[in-house]
Amino acid sequence: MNRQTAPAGRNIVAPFLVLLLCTGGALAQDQAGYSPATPKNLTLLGIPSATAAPHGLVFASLSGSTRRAGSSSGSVDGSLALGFGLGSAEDGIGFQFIVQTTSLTNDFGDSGYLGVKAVRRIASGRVPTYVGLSVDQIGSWGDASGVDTRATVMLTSFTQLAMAGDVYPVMFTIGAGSHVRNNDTDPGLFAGAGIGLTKNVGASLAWNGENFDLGTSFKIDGLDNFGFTATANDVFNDDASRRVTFTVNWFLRDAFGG
Amino acid sequence: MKSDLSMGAFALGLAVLTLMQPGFAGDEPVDTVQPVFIPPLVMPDLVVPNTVTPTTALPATVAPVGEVVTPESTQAIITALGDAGQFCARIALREYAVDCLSSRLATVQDSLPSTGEYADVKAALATASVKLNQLARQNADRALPRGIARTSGPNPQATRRALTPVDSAKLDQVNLQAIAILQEAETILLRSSQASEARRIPFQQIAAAVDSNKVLLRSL
Repeated sequence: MNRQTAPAGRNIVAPFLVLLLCTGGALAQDQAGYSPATPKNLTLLGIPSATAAPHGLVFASLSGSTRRAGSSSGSVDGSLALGFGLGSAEDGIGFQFIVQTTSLTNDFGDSGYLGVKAVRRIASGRVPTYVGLSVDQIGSWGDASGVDTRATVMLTSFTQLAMAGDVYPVMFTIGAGSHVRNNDTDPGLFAGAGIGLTKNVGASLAWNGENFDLGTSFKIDGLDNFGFTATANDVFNDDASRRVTFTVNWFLRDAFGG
Repeated sequence: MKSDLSMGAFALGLAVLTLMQPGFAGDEPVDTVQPVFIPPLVMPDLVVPNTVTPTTALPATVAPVGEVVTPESTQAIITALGDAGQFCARIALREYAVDCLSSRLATVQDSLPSTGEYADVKAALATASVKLNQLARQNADRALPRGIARTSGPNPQATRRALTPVDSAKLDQVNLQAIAILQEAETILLRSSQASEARRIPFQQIAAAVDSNKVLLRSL
């Protein structure tokens, strides 16, 4: 949710179109094989959703971008988040805690903050719906300590889309945050939708309050503990800040002994 | 497992090496992309146990059915109607049976010509399909997910759309109404069978095939 004033970057839409075309091939295979008992890789990138890590799941997210957020620099940048889930949004409240480091250089870990998200299911059945509240930038340290604590509320619903003899899980999120617009300084609204296309690929489009993010998520067979995402931030270059963010996610389930 | 770890470590290491270059600034982080955890909700497909081998590789279509009554066309329709009942009977959750029959009757009628001798069959099946779907939706169970029913293995079959489950508490009443809808279709077909000698026996056979699907509803 950062605005930049740098000149337009390289055309980064084409690789995403290629990915979606590749996805179409995978779709056809799924239909022919009739194997959708395997859940599809549903995702929604670019905005926070009212979902939390399952109880006992520990994760690490390593992100890298072709350009720094909020910067006119053309260099790459990175961040690392470590987190875990506690509780259950279905039976009570599910919590997700993260430690976000904002520096990956020689002074690794000298700058960062904490965040917590609480999620509760408010409707089940045909359209399961969850509400969430997250608070970030808690206990900031280092260069990140000058940033205000921020709060975000989200509403996320799930449903299915039946098309061409197959069914696709989809999710929708709307939300509001205290730091969304004007380079994360002013309150704003955001919304987005995501779809699971195959068991390996998901895609999403989100309005982050200032511009659109096109996201794709990938799982690789045999790498069950890893997930990969590629997000085209400001994909239409509305704010001349188009860039790509890549993320590698690592998961460890039942870290607390089930 | 070892391969999983080594490939994952390689991918993670590659990403770290790519990012750990001079010039990274801690006060200008990249957008945080945390994983999206999908809760254990996502409506499962209604995987139908493939315990019964379908009588044909059908029933995506009933082909070929022409405008003139022939033994082959009649048999194709009867087979498709029989498969519809067999397929729907295999869904473990009986709440989906009514809309399953609706979906399968729609599939059969889609394959029939709109003109000619079989047009009346098409109309009767279409009417029954719509009424069964309306019945399921009017008595839907909001706690159960909608889903596509499908078989796996050779000759896979699937409903063309997601099925609406009926409220369990209303199941007996709904099934009686569904039987009445099939009875109505059967009556229309028997009445239509009297229109010509060519139709008489074939349409009676098709009506009997429709009637056989009432067995499914009575057994629930």
